[in-house]
Amino acid sequence: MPDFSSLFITQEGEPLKVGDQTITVVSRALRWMPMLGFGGVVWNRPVAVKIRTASGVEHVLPVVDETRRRQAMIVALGLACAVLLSLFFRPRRA
Amino acid sequence: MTEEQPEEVKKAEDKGEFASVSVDTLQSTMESFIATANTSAVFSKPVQHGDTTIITCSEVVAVLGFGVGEGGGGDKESNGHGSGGGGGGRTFARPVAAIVASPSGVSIQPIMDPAKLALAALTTLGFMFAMMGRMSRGRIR
Repeated sequence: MPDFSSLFITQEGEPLKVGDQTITVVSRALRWMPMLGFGGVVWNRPVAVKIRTASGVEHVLPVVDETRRRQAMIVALGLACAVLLSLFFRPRRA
Repeated sequence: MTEEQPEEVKKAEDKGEFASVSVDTLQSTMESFIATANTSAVFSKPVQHGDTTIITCSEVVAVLGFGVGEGGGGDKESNGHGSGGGGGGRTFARPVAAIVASPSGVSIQPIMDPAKLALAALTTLGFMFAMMGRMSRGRIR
């Protein structure tokens, strides 16, 4: 099975101090360059934010893409309705 | 050294300069393209407002392609030879969320694009109506 993990690059940004908290942003990029430098595709998106408090406790907040989530819901709803309609409009034997 | 050779040497030098400019342009374009994969392309520089810091997050997609070719041929009298190249690309970006950091805590505020949602809804509705139309035509037959 081909290894697709090398296509994804997870990177962290420079830590930023806000008050007594340190924030580190995390992004993940899909980088595919099949033609030896003659082009490719890069898809980069934010993934999470790491927060480290002064007491040393670290927690991670995911970055949720609401627009993409709602688009997927609309498309899923449409497909479900299409399947229901196809069942309802199925030709019946006389 | 004849009079023809300096002209040919000049042409070769011009060709060399042109080739190095093309390679430099290609290299800088590829570097900019690869830099799209960095964190700095997705997260903006922090903006301070009082004791609140805001960082915007975006989704970035970049597509790039190059092509080069050369050809030759012809008969013994005329040796045709040519070469060429071209390329194109596009970058898409859209806001995803805003990170709001204050002394009281850090929160992530999603940013929604109503135009994209409306487009998805219209496309889905169109697909459903098209499917209903095809199915009703099937029933009439």
